Amino acid sequence: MNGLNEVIHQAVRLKIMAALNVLSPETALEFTRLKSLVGATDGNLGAHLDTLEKAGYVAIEKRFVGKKPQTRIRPTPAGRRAFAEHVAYLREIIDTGPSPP
Amino acid sequence: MTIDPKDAAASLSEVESVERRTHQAITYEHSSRQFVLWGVLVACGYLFTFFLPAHANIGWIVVTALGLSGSFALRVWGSRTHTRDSRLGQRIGYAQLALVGFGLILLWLLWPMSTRQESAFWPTLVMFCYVLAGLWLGTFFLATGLGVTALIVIGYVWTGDWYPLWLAAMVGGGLIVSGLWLRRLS
Repeated sequence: MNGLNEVIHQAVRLKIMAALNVLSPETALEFTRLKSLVGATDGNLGAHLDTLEKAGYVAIEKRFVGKKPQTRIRPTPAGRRAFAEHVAYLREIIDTGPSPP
Repeated sequence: MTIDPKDAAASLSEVESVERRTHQAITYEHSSRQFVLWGVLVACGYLFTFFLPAHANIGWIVVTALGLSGSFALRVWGSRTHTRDSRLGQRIGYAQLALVGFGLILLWLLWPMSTRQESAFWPTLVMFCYVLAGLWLGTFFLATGLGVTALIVIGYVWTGDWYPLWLAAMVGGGLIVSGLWLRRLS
């Protein structure tokens, strides 16, 4: 049984990874869409993305579309793996009882 | 940090909810382009039927060919965001081909049909599919299917010779407006 992943388990970061996990490998979500999907503010989402990026779970791409800046986020293979392991861990807790401290 | 089964269940429920919303947002984004494409083509088809009724069949063959190839192009190149279910696009393509195929069989079985009946037949069949899709993809498809079907029936009963123009505005226009609205929701 894998242990608790405290980076992913935080509520907003769990939602971010859940949304990104739906994407096909080569695609990304725009910052504004991700914000509405997880129900976070700009600053809050930015801070949590920073944490996930430092952990190597997401890749953030900034570019200009015309004159407008655009930020796109995609999960890394390590991020997808960590998310899948964390979801499996949560399921295991439901099946077998509370995790040890 | 300790997690009890209740917390774990709440977290998993949140995960499923976000995944469902993300799927829906991406599906809506892809569908909005399809709605607008078919709305424009269908409106052109009915205008062609109204102004050049003798050549209506050729017009509809062109509309169908452009619609199917345009839909394919939009699925392949039209969006930068896709879900992991890469077969979804393929399935939508097959569903459109099946719709045209079964529509032609039904038309053959029910023939002879007046131009007016045939004009109502195709959009009603398509809207029936929207209603079915709405049961899985979200209430927007359901509402569009039911709303446009009601307009098709109202026009069939009350618009007389203006029926193709009514269909151009209500079916074509309805799809365009729905597509633009869907884009806002995605």
